[in-house]
Amino acid sequence: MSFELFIECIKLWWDPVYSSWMFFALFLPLVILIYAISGKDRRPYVLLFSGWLFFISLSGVMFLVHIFETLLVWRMGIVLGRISEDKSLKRKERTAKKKKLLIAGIISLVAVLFVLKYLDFTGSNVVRLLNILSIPCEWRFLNIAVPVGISYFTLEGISYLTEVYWENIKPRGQYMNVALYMGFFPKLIEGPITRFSDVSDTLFSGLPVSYENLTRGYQRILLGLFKKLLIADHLAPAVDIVYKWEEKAGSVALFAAVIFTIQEYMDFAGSIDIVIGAARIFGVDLKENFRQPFFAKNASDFWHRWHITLGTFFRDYIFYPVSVNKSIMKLTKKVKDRFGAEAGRLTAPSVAIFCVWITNGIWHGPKWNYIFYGLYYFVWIFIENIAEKPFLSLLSKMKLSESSLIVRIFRFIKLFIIVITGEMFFRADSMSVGFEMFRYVFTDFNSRKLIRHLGDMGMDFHDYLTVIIAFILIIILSVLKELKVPYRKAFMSLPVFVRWTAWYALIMVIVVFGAYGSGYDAAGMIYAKF
Amino acid sequence: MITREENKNIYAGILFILILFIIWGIASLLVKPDFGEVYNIVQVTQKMDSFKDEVPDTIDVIFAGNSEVYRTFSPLQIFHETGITSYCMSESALRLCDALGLTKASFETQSPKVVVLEADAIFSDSDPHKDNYALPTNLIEDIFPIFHYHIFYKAYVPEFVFNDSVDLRTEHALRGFVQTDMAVPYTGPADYMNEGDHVRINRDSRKYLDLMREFCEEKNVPLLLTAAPNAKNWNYSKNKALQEYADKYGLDFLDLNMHVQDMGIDWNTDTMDGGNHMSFEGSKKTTAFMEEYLKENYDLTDHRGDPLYSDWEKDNEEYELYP
Repeated sequence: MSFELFIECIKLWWDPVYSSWMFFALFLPLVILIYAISGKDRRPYVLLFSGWLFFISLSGVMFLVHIFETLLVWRMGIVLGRISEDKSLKRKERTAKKKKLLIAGIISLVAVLFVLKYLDFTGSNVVRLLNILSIPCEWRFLNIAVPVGISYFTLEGISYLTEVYWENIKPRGQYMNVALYMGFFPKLIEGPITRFSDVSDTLFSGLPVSYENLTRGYQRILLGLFKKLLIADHLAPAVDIVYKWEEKAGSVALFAAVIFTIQEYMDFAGSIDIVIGAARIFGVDLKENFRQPFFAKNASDFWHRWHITLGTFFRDYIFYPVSVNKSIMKLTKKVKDRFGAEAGRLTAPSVAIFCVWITNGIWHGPKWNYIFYGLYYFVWIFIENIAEKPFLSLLSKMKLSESSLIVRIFRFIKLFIIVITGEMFFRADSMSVGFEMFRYVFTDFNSRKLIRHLGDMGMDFHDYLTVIIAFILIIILSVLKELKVPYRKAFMSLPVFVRWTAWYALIMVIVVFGAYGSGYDAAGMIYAKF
Repeated sequence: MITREENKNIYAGILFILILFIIWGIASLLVKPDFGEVYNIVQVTQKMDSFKDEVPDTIDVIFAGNSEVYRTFSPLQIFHETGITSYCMSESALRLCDALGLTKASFETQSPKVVVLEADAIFSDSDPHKDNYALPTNLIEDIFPIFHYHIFYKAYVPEFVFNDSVDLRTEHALRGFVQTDMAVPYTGPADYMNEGDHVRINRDSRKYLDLMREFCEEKNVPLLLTAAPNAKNWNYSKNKALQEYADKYGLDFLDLNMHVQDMGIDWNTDTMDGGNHMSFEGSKKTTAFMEEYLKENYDLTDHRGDPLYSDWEKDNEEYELYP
């Protein structure tokens, strides 16, 4: 390898598309080495400075936004803690003071996120509305660079402040603790969104790199690479091509939605496997973000299994607070008095679910598609909440149990349709394209058009075959997990020769059949842009 | 203090990595091509395989380069009109290193009299190990070529589903030329040669261009540099750079862009994609011009009527491209 090539490779580290590769090739092994040879007290600092270096390499000067937010969260946490312990104040006064501070903190964090990520979107839409009302004005796009992972570490900052406010955790006096919590490099780009209490025991302890953690961490990383390189990245060019929506046919629209759903799932789940594996090497156990989502029994359950940490964030910090809000309680009472107990029972959860889903849609980014996507799930979950009781009574009349095969198949098909339709709109270039694709499914399916163009989608026969076989293997693994079959224990009880052979085989399968290098475009991480 | 268990684990870890490196090393030896380093092993292997179907020592002219070649020069037309045999050793986005590999491979079964190198590949990426899409993996490709040639299996596992594509069916019959019905007019300025930035032949391209020249010298075969009409990607700067190279080494250089009017190129009908590649109608004109040039400048035999070349006539009759 020439020096010139080496320099070019290093330069490309600055491009987030390649960051994942550089992460494995150079960054992670180097950090593990420095971490392992450092003293116990210095190890958290190794993680902190590695995270900062990683951040600077990806976002340059926008790293300062991260520093600003961590400083803000750290200081506000300390002040919140002081107020909590201020016995000179009455409880009510303390709560009121803390509440004001918490709101100020959350508003500050959200304001930074809004300016960097949503200002152009909001401004341009306001201008569009004013133009419709015949008020001439124009919006000059600011195109501000967004620091990597801002949507994730902002939520972590909010989580930290709220937990301190609720007195579930003690605020940390050392800035390093808060900075490392919000800037731990494996989870910086795509999460999982982590609670302070989940990692506080391990992250700051400077645990040594154990053989157990190292092997388990790398095994998890391999699983992630399998999902990403064999499935998601193979599908990436086909998804890009079909979503250009030049070949208009219902079959193409449906195919686009299905392959995007698989790509997104495997990309995100694979990346999270890599993140969890990398964190594990340092002795940090991050929360799982996926739990066999397609085994869910309905849309609500799906979101308990898909992007779990985002779902639990919204549950704990939006759903519950909104549900028990005084105004909502009053509304519930009014509805109950006027429309009956059942309507009253549904009021608070429905309002809370609406708040959750509109926030979920907006969180994904400044696009109407995402807002629609959030509202889409609100509607489905609302319908399911209303329909669940009648559905269960219908089942008992038909003498069918919830766990019967036919009910499970029905639920799967229903969920599949809901998810696929949602993804069709989620990935479409615009809402109008999304609706057009949806319309074509029913008005002009034309399966021949799809078959004719399967060869023009940036994937050859071998790529399709690789994706199909790899995905079947992942499905088998998911079934085993869902059935709680202790396959890992069984595997670990095999002779070392067999285990090593299996790992070598997996590595070679990834090396040979992975979508990378000549003939493939590098595919970035989908959830890194949210 | 390292415990015995930890010691055992360290040795196990080192052993695991060592065995992995050995596996990668062996796999690299198995997949590394013996005809030299190439960028896209699948394209090159498939092209070489289809080229081997030609009757030995029957191809007089090799057209090397990327898609510009198979859209511009039609061997069947050249044979039909002059009796000279040729083959397009070209693939989409083919790099100069791969063009060199294919040219070398063509001499294993054939004894070409002329090598024609189309210039578009010269002004693109030329190095087998420099890939804008995969630079980080390029870091270890030199040590473990399996990371570069990992898609080698694609050249050997047949395409069960898409093997009826036009390109594959006609590869042999049209001798690498790809016929198209598409025609998208070029709407840019007529003096496109004045457009574009000043360019030079980059270091990688020069290296492979030199290797190509040296190979042709070694085989005692003239190397003709040419540039297909291209309103999108060609200009005087490229012309000048290549002319300088040709002058320096005494090579022939035929820039078809300088003869667009002589050939009667109509940019409304003769390009398939708005000026980048020739349409079928355009290729008829460029091929006619090239065959005249070959006939006049090189000692090439008219094989029409020779029973050894009867396949060429049959293929032309079957595809009815050149009545």
